[in-house]
Amino acid sequence: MRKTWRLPILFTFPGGVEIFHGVVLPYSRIAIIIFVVFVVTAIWALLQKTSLGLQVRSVTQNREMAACMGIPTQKVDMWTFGLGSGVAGLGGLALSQIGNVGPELGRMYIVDSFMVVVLGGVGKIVGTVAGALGIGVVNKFLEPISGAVLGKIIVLILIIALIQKRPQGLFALKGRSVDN
Amino acid sequence: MIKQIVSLHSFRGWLLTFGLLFAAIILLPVLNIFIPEESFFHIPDYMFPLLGKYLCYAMVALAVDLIWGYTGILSLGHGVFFSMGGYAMGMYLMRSIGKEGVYKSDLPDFMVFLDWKELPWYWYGFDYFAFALLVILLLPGLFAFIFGYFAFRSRIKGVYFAIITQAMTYALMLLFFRNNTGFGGNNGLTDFKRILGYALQDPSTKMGLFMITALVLFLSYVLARYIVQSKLGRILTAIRDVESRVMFSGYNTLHYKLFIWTVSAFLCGLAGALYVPQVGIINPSEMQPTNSIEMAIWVAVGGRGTLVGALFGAGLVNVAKSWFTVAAPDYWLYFLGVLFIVVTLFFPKGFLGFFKSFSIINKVKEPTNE
Repeated sequence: MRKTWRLPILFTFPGGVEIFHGVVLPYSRIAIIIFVVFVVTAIWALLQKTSLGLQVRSVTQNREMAACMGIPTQKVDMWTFGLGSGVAGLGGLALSQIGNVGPELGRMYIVDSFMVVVLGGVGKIVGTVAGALGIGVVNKFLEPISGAVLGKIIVLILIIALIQKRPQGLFALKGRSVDN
Repeated sequence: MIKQIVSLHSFRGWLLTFGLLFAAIILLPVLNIFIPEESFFHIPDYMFPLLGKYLCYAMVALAVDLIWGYTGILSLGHGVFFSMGGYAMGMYLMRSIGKEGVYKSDLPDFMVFLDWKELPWYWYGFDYFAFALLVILLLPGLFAFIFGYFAFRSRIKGVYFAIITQAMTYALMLLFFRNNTGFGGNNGLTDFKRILGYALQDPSTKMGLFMITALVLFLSYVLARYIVQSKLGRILTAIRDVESRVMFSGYNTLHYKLFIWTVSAFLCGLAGALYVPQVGIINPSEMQPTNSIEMAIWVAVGGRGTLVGALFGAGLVNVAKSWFTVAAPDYWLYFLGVLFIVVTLFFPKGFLGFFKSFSIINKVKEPTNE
């Protein structure tokens, strides 16, 4: 059902590094890895080191209290939504290096990206990274054994099972409120 | 019991409900049969499957409103229950084709095409309508019960629940897309000929199906109304508003959530089963995550936590969809998008909430939160 052919893209990085015999890591993928590390670090810094980040975290933890302390929560919402959309755009930019680009480029990733966040724990960057790596790697190991579709189903079942044990994800956001 | 049911509505409310039921199962067929075709009031034959489709969607919206509007649990998995009912009905319809398929074989066409020699075991029994009916009535509810038990037991709620239901939908969609699964793969089940011996192409069969759908919708509405106005319904609303407080008051919220979740899935499966013979096809695209999201949109457009709003929303969105695709084939998606944006911006409580805000005798507290 899913074909992966490539279209010629203007900004490609042809060639690659041969890690060991027969396994070539293309430059384009290396570039993506470096790019992703850069973006994740930048977001982490933004959330942890800037005043916008502080405001975002406070609104996440307790919206009413944040509003009482004079944080313009609606403005923070707006900025956060903009930021999130922009980061998704950067993700699309990275994807353009490995797949064909079309209006449905993001559709395949909707469910996966939600799963990553839920598995890792909402509101935690480390959780997102761990969740993404975990799902991606497990998926790739399962694919040759069970086939792509069944592999995906197994991963989804595993996630549902894992959420049973940790309803808040692998790295739960610690807070003091009863209802999250 | 009867007294309780009668007291669900005011006299005017019941009058309106029965008026609509009367219009659907008596007036429309009369207009179709006895009014000459040239007349403005004539209801053409093709209207019945179309209206029947809307009624099925309205039933789905009712189910979603029970779980989302009243209990505050957003489910993005109702497409699955809908498809389960649909596939069970589709399998029966497929078996009742007999040897009239393209390949003149006893097996369904897609199995001949895949060079299967005999029927897979899970197709056994679908030669009989009674068995299919049993599956339609039991399977979606049972599946929802098991899934819900594990989900609610570990107190998965809010966005987490929405997402695992979406993952379930997605996983099952992928499963059903496979040819090997034995449900027709991409193409699904189609090319039905007859139901219980009546030809599906016959206008009278279509009309009959429509009338049955209207009746079932009416009964589900009364059931839903009965549930939400009972004591149990009060607890469901309380769970929506502050679940922890309900738990601290000594209620085991698991039971209540599980009950309404199962009822909701049951209604959804029923709607799917009524949908398939009228539309004539069921395929895995019904399980696309976007479809389940759309079901939530119907309820949001009409107004959450009102039941009537859900019915109205499903009707409005789907009629608008049909109308836009005819009136502006190139731009209909834009119109639909604008409709959703307008509703979110100006009617955050849906159309019904908007109209209610004008009413002076509005004593019922509006659903808040989120």
